[in-house]
Amino acid sequence: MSTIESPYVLGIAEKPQAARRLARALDEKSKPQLKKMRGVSVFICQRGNKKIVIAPAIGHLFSISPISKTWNYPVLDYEWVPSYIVDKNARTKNFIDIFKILAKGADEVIIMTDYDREGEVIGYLILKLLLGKEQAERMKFSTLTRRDIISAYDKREKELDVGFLNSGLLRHYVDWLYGINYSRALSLSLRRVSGRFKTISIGRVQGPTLGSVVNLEEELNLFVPIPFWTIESEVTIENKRFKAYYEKARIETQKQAIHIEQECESLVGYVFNVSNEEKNMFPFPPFNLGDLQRESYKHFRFSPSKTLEIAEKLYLSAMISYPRTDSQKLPMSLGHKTILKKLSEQIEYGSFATEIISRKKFKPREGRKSDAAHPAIHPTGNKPAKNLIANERKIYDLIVKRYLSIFGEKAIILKKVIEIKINNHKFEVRGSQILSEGWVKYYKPYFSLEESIVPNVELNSKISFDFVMSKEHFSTPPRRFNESTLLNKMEEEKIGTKATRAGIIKTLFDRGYVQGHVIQPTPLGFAVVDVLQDHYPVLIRAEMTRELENIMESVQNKKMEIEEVVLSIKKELKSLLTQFHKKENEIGLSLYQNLQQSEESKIIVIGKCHQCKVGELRIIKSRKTGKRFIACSSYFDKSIKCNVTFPIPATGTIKPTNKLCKHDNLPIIEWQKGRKKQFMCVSPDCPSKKKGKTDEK
Amino acid sequence: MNENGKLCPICKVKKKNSMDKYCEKHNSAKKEMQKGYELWLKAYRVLSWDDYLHKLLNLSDSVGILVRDIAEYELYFKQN
Ligand SMILES: [Zn+2]
Repeated sequence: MSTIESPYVLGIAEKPQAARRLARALDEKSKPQLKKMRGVSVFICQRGNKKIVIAPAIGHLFSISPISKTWNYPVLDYEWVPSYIVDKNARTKNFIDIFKILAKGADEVIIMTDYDREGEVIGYLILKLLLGKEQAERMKFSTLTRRDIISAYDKREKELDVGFLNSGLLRHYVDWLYGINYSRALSLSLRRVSGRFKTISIGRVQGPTLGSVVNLEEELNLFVPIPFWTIESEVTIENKRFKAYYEKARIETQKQAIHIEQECESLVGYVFNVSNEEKNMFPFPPFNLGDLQRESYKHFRFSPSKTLEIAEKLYLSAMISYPRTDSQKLPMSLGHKTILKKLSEQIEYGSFATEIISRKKFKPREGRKSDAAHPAIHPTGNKPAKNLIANERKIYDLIVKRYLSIFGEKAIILKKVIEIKINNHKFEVRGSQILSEGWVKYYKPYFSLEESIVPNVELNSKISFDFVMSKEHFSTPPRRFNESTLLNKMEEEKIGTKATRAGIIKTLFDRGYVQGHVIQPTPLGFAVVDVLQDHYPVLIRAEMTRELENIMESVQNKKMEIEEVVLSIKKELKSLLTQFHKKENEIGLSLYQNLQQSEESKIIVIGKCHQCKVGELRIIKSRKTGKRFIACSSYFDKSIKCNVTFPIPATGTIKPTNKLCKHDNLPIIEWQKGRKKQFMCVSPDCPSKKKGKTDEK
Repeated sequence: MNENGKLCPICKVKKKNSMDKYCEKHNSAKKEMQKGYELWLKAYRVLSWDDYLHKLLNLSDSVGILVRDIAEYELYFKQN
């Protein structure tokens, strides 16, 4: 392999695709020379009298690893090592090698990674561990467009961003320290008691997140619905029917509800007030990552991690700005007029963009949240690549329409309320009329206004009701989390960061602690939280995690020194682990018991097997087809190999009843789905099924 | 007291105190049900405990599973 003739400026990019974009923008002829080194694309650009060689990383090239190799805790000493050593699947060796080679001829270095904590850490570790330098110049950009890259190059900083770097390093240290020590402590406590080896890991942010899921489930398990009543009514005005809303949304007692119904028996009311009010609606704020993830879940059901992954691709294609941002601000310096002009050349958005340009108002409406490094997520105006896949197209469309809507005029709605009285009971008929659609037009179909026009009525005119009825209801339990609402919960509790939250939720799934679109803890998740709640609650409470997020924030703002923070965290961790050590047996024992219980509870026994008289009939799930059925446990006993099976309904919950069918003496099961509940004999040939009913003995 | 007396009659988990009726979790469920009963009584004016349990079982979906356990146990399995 031939090396590149020195001297040159070495540019470090975060990813191969970013390296290509950076090189194309920085080369004066937009035709950087491509050079393959160890299969990695490296670019040589000419800019002024400088030769710039841009080489990519592939995200993180290094991982933290313990220095001492014993399997004990606490582990407080660590070092950075090439990630391919720690993780055999990491394909980082070639990338590391090329930086070692390129180090020799580089007389200057520019860090060109993403401008955030992680980008700073990625650049710094390459600089320090592969190039043997402490400092380098730093380019800061929010989009990978030519304009931004060139401007970032011209205005590049003389040094790395120390705040970002230290808070980024600190996050790695802290997460690693907590992760490895608690995983070891938990796993060892289990092994000490049971001899059983099972890795039980719980991270610093995963703990409280899992805690929230389990706590909610416990609340649901204890939920008692409470009765209440509503008054339902409808009126007819000019031959059209409208819903009328009773003055109280909720009636507490049956007596009261019936009383109201009786007092409104005449079904004749009088209009005692009509009001018209114009209401203004302003556009939603520009997208930050959390808002984009929520909106994308709402409309496309994409998980937060999937949305981030897609947004990242769009960023690398220079179609949108950097997505890991908290900001709802879009400063004028972004050049909105230019972006809108470029969008006007895209068929889908052309007419709306042109309309906005013609109004000549380029000051966007902003939200309150801001971010030190990046503006809100916005399109760059660059045309989408032709090979954009459907999901990328969806996220892009959402981002562009949100951006356009922010330049729209307010929407104006006329709210009309007709107030009606029967016997001193007040009802309202509500109508709304769109006077001006404003920004909503640009944001369709992600938001739209509903219109319901009610006729004009005179004061004191008679209104006839079609009915006034009380209806019994029962309070409903809180909803289980989905990935989007769990993300909200993490934001509310201030745990994790915009960049890490989606990944933490994914880890909970990957480790088998939670399951389902509607998220429920698994028996394992329950078992772990139960034990920690009793013996070691700090790990599943948000306080400690939140405090650490605050500390990282302070390090970023240079109000705290990283070395001091790391020392004090190690000290605290050591004392927490000493406490853990003292309780190790106790913790191990309850962990073992909980795990056993959770594993046992997966087996539902329906009754004794009538055929072999030895085994138990159990509900099992076929690994091949995923279908469930009832089978005898002696099937697995080689000497018996009883092969009795019965089919059962594919959905719904099934419970044993300990009762036998009087026709064939086989067990009766209880089947429940939604509000439906049925008792049935397990046999499909049972005579009771032909008669359409079940008779138990 | 025999071994069985130390276990929750519903889930066979060890009780916290052998004087308790149920295990810790089922005990909390029972407490919630007693609180709920007060509110149901206010709502309907007349309602027996057993009727309350029947009604809870008919509501199925939203009733917590531990609550359901108690209602089933007290209605169908408890020997007085
Ligand atoms: Zn119990």
